[in-house]
Amino acid sequence: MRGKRSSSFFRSACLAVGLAVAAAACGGGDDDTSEADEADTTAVGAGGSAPSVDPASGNTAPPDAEYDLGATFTVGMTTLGNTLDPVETPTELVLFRIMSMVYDRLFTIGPTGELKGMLVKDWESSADGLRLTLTLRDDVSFRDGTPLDASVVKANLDRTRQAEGPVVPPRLEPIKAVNVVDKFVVEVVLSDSTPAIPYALAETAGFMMHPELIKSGDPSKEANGSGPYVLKEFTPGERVVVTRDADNYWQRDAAKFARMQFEEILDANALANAMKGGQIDLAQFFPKELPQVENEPGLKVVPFPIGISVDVVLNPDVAPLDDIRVRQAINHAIDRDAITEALYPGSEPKWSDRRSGQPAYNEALEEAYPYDPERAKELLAEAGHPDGIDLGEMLVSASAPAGTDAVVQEQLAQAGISVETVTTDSIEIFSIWAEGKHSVELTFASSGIEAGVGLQQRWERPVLNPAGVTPEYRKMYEAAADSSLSEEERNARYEDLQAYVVEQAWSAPIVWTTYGWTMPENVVGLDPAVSDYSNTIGAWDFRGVGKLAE
Amino acid sequence: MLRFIGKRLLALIPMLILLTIVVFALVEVTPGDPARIIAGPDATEEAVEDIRHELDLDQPLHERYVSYVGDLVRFDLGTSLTSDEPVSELIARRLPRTATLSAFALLVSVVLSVPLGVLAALRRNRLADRLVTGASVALMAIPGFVLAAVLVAFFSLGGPRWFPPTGYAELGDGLGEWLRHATLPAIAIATIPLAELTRQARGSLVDVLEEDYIRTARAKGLSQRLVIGKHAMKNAAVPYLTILGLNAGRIVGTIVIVEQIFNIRGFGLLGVEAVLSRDIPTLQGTVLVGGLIVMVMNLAVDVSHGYLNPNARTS
Repeated sequence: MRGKRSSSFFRSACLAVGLAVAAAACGGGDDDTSEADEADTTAVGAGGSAPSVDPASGNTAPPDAEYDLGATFTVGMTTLGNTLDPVETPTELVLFRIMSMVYDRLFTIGPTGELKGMLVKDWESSADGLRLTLTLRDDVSFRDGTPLDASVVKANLDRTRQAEGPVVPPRLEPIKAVNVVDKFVVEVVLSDSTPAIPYALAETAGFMMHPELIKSGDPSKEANGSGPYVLKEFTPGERVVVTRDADNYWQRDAAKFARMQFEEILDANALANAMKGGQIDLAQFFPKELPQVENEPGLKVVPFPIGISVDVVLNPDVAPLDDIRVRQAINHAIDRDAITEALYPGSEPKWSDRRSGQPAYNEALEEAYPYDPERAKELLAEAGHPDGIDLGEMLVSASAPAGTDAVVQEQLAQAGISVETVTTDSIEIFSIWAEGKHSVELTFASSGIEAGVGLQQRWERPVLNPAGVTPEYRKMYEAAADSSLSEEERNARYEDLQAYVVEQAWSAPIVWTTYGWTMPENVVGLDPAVSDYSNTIGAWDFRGVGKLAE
Repeated sequence: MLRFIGKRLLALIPMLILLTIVVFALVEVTPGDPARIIAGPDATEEAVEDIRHELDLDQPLHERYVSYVGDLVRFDLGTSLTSDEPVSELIARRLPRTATLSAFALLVSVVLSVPLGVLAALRRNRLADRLVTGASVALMAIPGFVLAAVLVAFFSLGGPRWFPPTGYAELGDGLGEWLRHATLPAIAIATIPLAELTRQARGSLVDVLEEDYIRTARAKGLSQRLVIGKHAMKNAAVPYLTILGLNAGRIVGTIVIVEQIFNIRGFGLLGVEAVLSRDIPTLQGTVLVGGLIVMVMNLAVDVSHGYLNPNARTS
């Protein structure tokens, strides 16, 4: 049974999710074969104006709000990374937050997960799904007057897809060629009919830099974009400063600060102190860290329920997990509600690969495996293990929140399942898990920016699922990831696919995390109901955020 | 004296060789495969092998050591695996912050410990002595990181909010700004050295004041100021300097934690970052330079011993 949560934080989270769902219901998704609808175009074209007014959302400014346009805005982050190059970065989540202030991108993702054009005005997929035609805005240029046209897009996409990089270039692997059709029309030729490419171009892979920077500059240390800010200072691993240098930016209200500073503060306590001491204006806190800043006078917390989770991952190739009943027993043995309340206050128990509020969320899978240690024991007995099982070492990611492994270990023990926890480096754990020798792992997982991409990344990469997928899964996935289908049709099939994964019990998902973004009371515009990427990655794009004038 | 200094410098050579061996061995004893970690989760075996080759990890151990020492002789500490910057440049950027902060903390310790120790020694077994001794014992029991948290709570987040809770200003930003940022971390670093040095100053002076030559000096009618300042202090300084040297070395360790608490992007935090990101060249560079600093400080203590006590030059 789901526990009762009474904190205002959780209520806010629910409100945010509810608003996101409502917005999705009202807004609708894009049509893969059609031009972006007028509403989308308007939303993008006016995307720079202050986020649409929604008094219920809690952190959106009224339309007549006056901003302190001369303000400096300082963001505290626990890591900044050491490169500015989108291609090189191993930490895309971090780089995007900073460099999306400097670079415009081709697409963006709305607060409810819908794909929207940014530099792309219209887009169209061919009937066979192998050609994607992008029509660009014609009013965007770099600071030296160079227009951001089709040749610039080709230069950028070619650079990214042909580069060697750990995270971003592989996303563009399905691109076979990029052709300039017209001054503002680009054709992207794909090797298969994946609908994932526009979504990839809403991430760092879609950043557009000046062709001169590509040709003769060093994008790891310098930047030249068409975005609302210019790079002023970059000290690797310490600080990035960007400043607003013009008032005629095409997304007219995107830049509401004269200067933005991104400061690396490694330690979570120091981050909280900097927030309370007024040294920074924005920081993200993990649920258990929030009490440090939650009730601080002059500060407010905006919860972002996002697509990042903590899961117990199972390897069906290793006995006794090759028996589906054993995997299902593990799912019944874990009390998700108790873990969520104790260790992730304000977050939500997880049952499948999509969170409520995200497209392709399958509500029927909620409570798929209610906490029931007795049922777990019965399943183990049916599988021939009446005295319980020993799963050996459970790999635990060093970055997993403290305490989760001990609670999981204890809960499994109560159902007769013993594991020995082994804390493992958060990067190296991937290669150890990929060897396929371990039966169980406790780690982070992501819903992905889109259902198909998320499912593919989650289950088809050996580093996350060494056992691989079954032919039945593959068949279902290929039937869903078909760009000739409408988004609604695709999502319906992804819902079925999740039901299959849950039934197979390839993992025992535990909790969807809700991160609290903390800021002074006069900071507005960062709001799960209106901010792009809200329900997948969270607060990722700071355009439109501002400080109200006193 | 020059001969003494020369001997001490020669004695550093085996220490330096030992230090390079320890630093080099860091790659071997650090858990995990650095090449695999650098390559990332999705890297192919081929990509991992390429990185291993690039880092010379596929070479025999002794060849790698010779190559490492050869690079060191050319002042080449390698290149950071995470930022692609020369490690020497990274250290050059971060070390001055730590050096100025440590020097400030050490200065505070010395400037306060000497008069307090003298006061306690001269008022032996009286109230002032008991207060100084008691406070020293109490301060020695407070770890630097606890004191740092208390200082931040009282002086940055509550009450007068005189000092910022995090960050650091360079001396070039102005003395006032630098002091505003450096004061709380320096207090957190200086507390235990101050307590130990005060106790040492008191103890040494008490011992010296009981020596025959002090009684003789007093019998000759020399003033108290002259007896203490000229005769007693010079001899009491020898053990005091030993403890000062030990504490200077200890500060190198304490500062790692204090820099983390105050988010001072100094040399100590550079080492922490290198550990967290498995940036082996940077980790090796910070350990090597940290070790060198401790060795140089010990040398300075030895030399000052020799200066203050001629017998130490021959022993």
